[in-house]
Amino acid sequence: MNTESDPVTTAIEEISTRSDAPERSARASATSDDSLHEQLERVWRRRPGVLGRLASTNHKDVGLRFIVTAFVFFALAGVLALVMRLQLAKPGNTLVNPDLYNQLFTTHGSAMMFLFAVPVMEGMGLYLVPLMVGARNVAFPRLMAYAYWTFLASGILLFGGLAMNIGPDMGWFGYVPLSGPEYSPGKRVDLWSQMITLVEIASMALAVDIIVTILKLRAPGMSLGRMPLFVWTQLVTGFMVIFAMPAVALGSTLLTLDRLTNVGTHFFNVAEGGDAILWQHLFWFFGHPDVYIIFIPATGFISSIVAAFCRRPVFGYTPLVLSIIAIGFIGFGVWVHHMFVTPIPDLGQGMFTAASMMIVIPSGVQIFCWTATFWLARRVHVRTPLLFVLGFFATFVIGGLTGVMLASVSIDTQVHDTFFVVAHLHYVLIGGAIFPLIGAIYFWFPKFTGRMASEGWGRVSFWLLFAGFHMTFYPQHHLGFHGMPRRIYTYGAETGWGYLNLLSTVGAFTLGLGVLTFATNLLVSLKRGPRAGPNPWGAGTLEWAAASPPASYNFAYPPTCHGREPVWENPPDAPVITGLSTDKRELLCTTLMDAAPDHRYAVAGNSLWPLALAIPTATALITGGMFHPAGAVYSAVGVAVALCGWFWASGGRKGQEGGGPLTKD
Amino acid sequence: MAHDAPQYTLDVSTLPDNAMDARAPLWWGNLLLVCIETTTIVILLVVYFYVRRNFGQWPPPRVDRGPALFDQAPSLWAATANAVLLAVSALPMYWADTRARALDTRRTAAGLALMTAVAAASIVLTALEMRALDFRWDENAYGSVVWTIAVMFMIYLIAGIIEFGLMLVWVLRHGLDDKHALDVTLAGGYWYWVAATGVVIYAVVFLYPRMT
Repeated sequence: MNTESDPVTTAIEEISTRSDAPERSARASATSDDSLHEQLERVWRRRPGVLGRLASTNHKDVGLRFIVTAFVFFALAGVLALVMRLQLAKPGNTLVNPDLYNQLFTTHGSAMMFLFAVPVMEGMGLYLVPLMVGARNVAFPRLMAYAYWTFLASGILLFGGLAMNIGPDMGWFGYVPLSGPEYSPGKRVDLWSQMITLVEIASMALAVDIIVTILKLRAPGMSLGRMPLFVWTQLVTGFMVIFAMPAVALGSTLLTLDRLTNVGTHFFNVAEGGDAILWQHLFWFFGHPDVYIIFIPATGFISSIVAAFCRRPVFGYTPLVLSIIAIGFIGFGVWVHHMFVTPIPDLGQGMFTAASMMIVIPSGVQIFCWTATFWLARRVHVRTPLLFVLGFFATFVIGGLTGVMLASVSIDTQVHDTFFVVAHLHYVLIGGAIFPLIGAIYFWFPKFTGRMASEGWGRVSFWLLFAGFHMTFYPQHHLGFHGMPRRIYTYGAETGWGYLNLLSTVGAFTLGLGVLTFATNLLVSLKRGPRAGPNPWGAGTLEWAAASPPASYNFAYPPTCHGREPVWENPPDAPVITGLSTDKRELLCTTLMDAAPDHRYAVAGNSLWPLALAIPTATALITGGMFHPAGAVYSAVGVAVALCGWFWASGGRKGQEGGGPLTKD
Repeated sequence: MAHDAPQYTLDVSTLPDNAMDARAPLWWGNLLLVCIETTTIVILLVVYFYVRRNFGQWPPPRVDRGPALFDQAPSLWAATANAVLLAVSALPMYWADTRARALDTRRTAAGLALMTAVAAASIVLTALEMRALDFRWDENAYGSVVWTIAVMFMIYLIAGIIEFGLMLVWVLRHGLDDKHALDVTLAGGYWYWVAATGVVIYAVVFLYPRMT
């Protein structure tokens, strides 16, 4: 590596030439190291007790909460899927009635897309990004905590609604006029649209937090061109969230306004000049980018895992980064392919077909780069996380091919609203995102917990999941070609769909067994797994330079970065950071492009204000959006009070520990 | 657990403990929140033009009560005054920002007080604009979309006045330091955005119907 132009070296020179600068010392500091750890722990630790947990603003606490909560919603939504599969296992089954079946598939889809897939990816980002860029926390810790509480509220709302038999029943994309006031009286759709708004607030808040963490808090020397690919994927995903989520948040608000009897607007009411297709545009302008918001972080997992088990950097860093960015852009130009059976002009159909096919190019580039990495590796270590990545390759390529088929208007028209689409979307989402995600959980489990998960049971869970998945969803392609529509609660024996459906149901239970094995493996390993060192896989990014699990402050001496895989590439004399405050939570800000040290930045400590703000946010949407708009107005007072307290508590935002009177010891 | 002291260190204690503008994380956070709101308001304006296609005349004629009105473009007085006020308000905001950067507590407080008054005036004018709209939100899609735009803008103004008021009280009680000078800069960035959005909304809701 050329050290002449190394920004870290430049920065060191720069700091050393300041008149009041202390020497670049060969000794860390006057204080002994153990007392440094004690001081840092005192400033960064979570307060004990329930209140302490509620007030935590540590990215590892909140990140893990996001991941665990999202997996709980995943399990619940999975159980709903099993009930649906049981109902469809034979023709004319009467296990569930049509109304319950409608609630089941709507809640399943909504929970998987809104409460699991996006939040779990952002939770992984929250946990890993600060560690990978060598920071001690995210840029806005309280915003992150606030996002968690709104996310939790939205999940409780959806599953609470289903438990009370007011689960939404109009399909996860809530098409009007079915979801409008005329065809869906009652509270079911209201509950759904408030769930959407709440969870999108959480997603957007986290996107802002993660982007700024990446832009401003990278370790000195980690220029944009040295950022780990996982961090690139989180950056692009964050920007996609910012430009996609407002569409559905606005859409769900307009739907709420249309439905509230005391408001009664006409956005989607054709009789008064409104438009039903408008809803589809608003929903899919969010909905298709959302698929990539789920898929792009998964490609980050894959790059991390492939590099670790091939013991070399991923081949083609630049093409991979460009592909991620290209997918981010093209992802916004394909939403109309969900609407090919609506009256869209021919030219529009052609454009969106072309864009939908074009997105295959950057996706293909990624696949080839990873394949080349395997080719160039001296030895490939096939451990559980890598098995899931291999499972991804097989599954995602099939799902991608059916995607190319669906991008063609004529095929799409033929199989629209059939099980072919169900098969396709599960191939790309489970194959493209969930396999890499589960691989990633196995991969970073030692970092999260300090213990290794069982390798043998990991392999068992992989084969159960892989076989179960293909047995469940492969037959659904054929069911779709045979004309079986989505969202029907039963079918007649004369259709001949019985055998394939039974096969699919058996597969679904195998898949469920796989998830159970996975969960059990982690729970048992949490207590009994062998201790993992800081870097059990010998990987190269900075999270592996921290302890497992990391200390509350991540790094006693935050690292500097001298290559794309700093743990592998940093020279033995690479300097570490000293001089950050030990009295308050202080981070080092670096410059946007080169990551040269710029200034110190204090962030808030533990605080209950995020929770205090999330409660009136949720009541505003739930009372105001479901019952009477006055509820939103009264709650807005609570929001304003909590916001004032938020800023006032910590002396504006000076970031002293405690973060206000609510959390004083 | 014993820890070895590192051999080479990069001491950052001499670096400043805050920074202005694009160097500050909060500046970027503010910018991204503005991006979210811009996307929201732009999509809302797209909704405006989307439902417009369903009407022959825009705004629709008022024929359900006598006398029938065919020229329904909303009255311009309050809206024009509001647009001019918002456009001009960028100047005192800029002045308050420069005073804050100079850590001039007294003039910054004066600037914040002035901006609080500007926001209050704009709130009154926006309320008058709403009165000038001839349709209620529950009469047709035109009424729905223009009312929603107006209420959204009102929420932006209320957020602005709370921000200015809160900072005014803070500056009067605690004086001004570097960190709160950045807050004034950020409030300025938000306010320029509100003002620009107000002018665009004026053009779309009040001028566009007269041009077609």
